[in-house]
Amino acid sequence: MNHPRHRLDEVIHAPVRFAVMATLAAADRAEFAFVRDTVEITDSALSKQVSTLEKAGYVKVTKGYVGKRPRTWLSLTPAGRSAFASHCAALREIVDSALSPPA
Amino acid sequence: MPNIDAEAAGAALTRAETLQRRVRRRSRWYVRYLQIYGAGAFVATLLLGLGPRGVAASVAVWGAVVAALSAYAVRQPVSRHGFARRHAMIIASWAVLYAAVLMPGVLWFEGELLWWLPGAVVVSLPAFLGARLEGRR
Repeated sequence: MNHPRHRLDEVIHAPVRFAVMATLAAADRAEFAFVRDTVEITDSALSKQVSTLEKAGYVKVTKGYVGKRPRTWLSLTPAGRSAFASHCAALREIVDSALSPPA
Repeated sequence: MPNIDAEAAGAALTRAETLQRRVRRRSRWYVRYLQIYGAGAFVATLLLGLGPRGVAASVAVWGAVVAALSAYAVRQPVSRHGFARRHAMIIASWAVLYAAVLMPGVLWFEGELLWWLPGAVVVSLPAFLGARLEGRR
């Protein structure tokens, strides 16, 4: 059970969810439309993935208005930030272990 | 349990870095925000030294700058991680320096450019330094 793949997070591992988490990890918060365009997916696909991440407690969804226009903002929760950092650390270990295999 | 080889792990990390670079690039609006805030703080503080008419002009200038910056900020789609904490620190620093220049200035240095000009420079520093640091990140 020492291999770093055991420390990968199953929720974050899916490519689109990983991309959403990576985008939000660099932000305090981001508009739904910005995340959609950055990750290059459709509204409905992003909604579905955000819902999964929200259920896992990794993403917080905030709704509001700018003037009269409704806006949705996404941000990582502290648990989401920590989970993403751990997931990336495990990915780095997998890369490093391939570069320097045990003697 | 997810299974992934080293090549896929490396590709995922590269993808994350690319996405995060986009976020950082789109968050650069805050550099412009701070530059305008610093310039506004400089002008508004300097105007205070010109007597009663200067005070009215200062209030008008500062009100317009703050209103325009608020409208600008609220329309931005993303802010970088740590933005809220850094912004609070800059505004708190500005407030402390503004009070430190304003109080003695109003009481003892009305109309004295030798007080208000350096004071305006000091008051604008947090925003200009913040803009410089933000531009480097």
